[in-house]
Amino acid sequence: MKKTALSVVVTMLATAGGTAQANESLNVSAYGGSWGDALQACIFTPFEEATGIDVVVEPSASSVTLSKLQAEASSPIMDVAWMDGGVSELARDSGVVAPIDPSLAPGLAGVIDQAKYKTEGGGIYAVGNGYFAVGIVYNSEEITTPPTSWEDLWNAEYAGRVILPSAVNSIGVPIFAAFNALAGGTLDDLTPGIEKMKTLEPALFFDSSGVANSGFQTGEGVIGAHYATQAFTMADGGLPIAYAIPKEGAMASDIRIHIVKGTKNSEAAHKLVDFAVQPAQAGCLATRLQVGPSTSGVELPPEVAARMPWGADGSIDDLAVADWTAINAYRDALSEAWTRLASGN
Amino acid sequence: MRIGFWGAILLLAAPLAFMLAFFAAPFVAIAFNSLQDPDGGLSMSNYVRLVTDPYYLKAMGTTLSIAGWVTLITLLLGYPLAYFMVFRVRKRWLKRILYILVVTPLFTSNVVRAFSWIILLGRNGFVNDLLIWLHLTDKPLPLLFNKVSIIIGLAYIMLPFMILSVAAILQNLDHRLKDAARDLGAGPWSTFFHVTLPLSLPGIVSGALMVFTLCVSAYVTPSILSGGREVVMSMLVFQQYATVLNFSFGATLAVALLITAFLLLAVYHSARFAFAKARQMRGNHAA
Repeated sequence: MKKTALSVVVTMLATAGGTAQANESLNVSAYGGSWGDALQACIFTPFEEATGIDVVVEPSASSVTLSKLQAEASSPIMDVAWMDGGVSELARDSGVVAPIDPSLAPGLAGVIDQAKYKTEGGGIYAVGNGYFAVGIVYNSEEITTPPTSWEDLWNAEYAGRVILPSAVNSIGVPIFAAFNALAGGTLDDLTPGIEKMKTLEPALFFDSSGVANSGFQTGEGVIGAHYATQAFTMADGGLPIAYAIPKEGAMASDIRIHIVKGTKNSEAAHKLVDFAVQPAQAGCLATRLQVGPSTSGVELPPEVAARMPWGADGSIDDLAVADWTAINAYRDALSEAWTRLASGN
Repeated sequence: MRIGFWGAILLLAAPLAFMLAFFAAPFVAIAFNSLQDPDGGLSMSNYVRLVTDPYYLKAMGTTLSIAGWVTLITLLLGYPLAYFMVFRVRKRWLKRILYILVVTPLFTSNVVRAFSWIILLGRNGFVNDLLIWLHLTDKPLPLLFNKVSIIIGLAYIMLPFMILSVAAILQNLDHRLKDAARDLGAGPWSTFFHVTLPLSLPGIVSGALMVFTLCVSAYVTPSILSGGREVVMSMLVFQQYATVLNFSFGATLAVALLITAFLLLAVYHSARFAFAKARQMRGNHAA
């Protein structure tokens, strides 16, 4: 009797081990918060249902994901990583991402060319998963004439109440580069941008969107450079917050998918990439996050289309996508100047 | 029963191994990393950059001054509270409830607590509304996204540590000493300053040490409540590691912070030692 009980347990353990082995799993580094929720609902959950491959998500901001990948480079734990434009190029340069093979991810054929990021050798190191925009977000109760230009942030009426992304936020550095360019500077010469910024009185510099949103909510700030998505979220939550595309063009970037170099699950990782760029998934992300699909042929309902980063009737060509390779070459200097400006040094 | 030599070694081995593996070894690695220049060669260039740039020295100053203020505030608020809980509250169950109330905030995430302060300290927040209602100010005060908000946020988080370490010492204080002082004609204030306060110094010292070191290394609260307008060392370390990706300079900032904190603690301890010695001498003379 005893023996039988034991053998039952052994059989159960063996079966459990067997199923665990049959159930492949992927370690994925992706965003937290509402972006993470959207990726989970639009991509990871349906992917698990469709393929039986488990997706284990470790949430972190893009730059933190990159430092994680660098630290783990000798024995990678992650298989697939979502990172923003800008950080993506840094990941390419530090050699922590592997080329994506289009023959293993046939869905890439439906992705527009600009969103297939290639190394000089021609290999695809990242695939775009949707464009987002940073424009002017303002309190429509306090500001009745919609702002039209980045210059409006310097309006004396808003002194001390301007909200801007910090150098830790992935759009902080490119925003400063953009302001510097508007002031007549170049990446080699940040002085015009620095001088221009000294005439602006900010309320706060945000590391994460949550802090910016609280700043708008509590009235600390009435205008600022912030993500369009967040403006729509606040407006939908009943706050008097509106979004305006500046005439200089909204600054755009995108979220991108990468396969981690040295992954032991390359095939499953390619399956996830293939799944994530399908029109259904891109449409779902567009609806939930207002990101512009980088997959072609995605049909969007009019209310979703109106909130695309390129505006209701625009297209990808209307976006001022940041030149990350150039910005990254000056990242240290831009980041330091921006932090010093923020803390008034 | 006495523990033999080998027994003691055996007992010490586990915590020692733990400290070596998870503190000493990583620290050596970080310290080594901080001495590397971008090409991987050994150099002091990172430290030269740190010392010659007033920006980093200023961040160090901000960090230490915030930690100092928070220590002072938690002491001034925490000591009376601990005193009250230990000496004034007679009922055991009430004492227990008070201890639970002191500890409860520690169960909430620092992120949540920092965001709550944004709502409370904001332009349209509760604190400003109250000040305006009381006619103490006619327009909202800038309480948020500066040193003030960081100090308020940290003091709130650190208060339980101070209360608990002071209360632990007061609890074990010999009550008869207070009675004796009163018997010998000392007034309540005199009793407090000459008997209770000196005897509770160990609690103040351990509380202050804990609060100060926790403040020096705090990241979440300053990064949320500074609004980027003030920079503390932990924020610079994070920036170097996570966005600039200059790991060796990040390591330099971290090591410099640790060394400065150690130096300050050494000064603090030697001052205390000298002070205690002076007291002892005075006592001997009086006798």
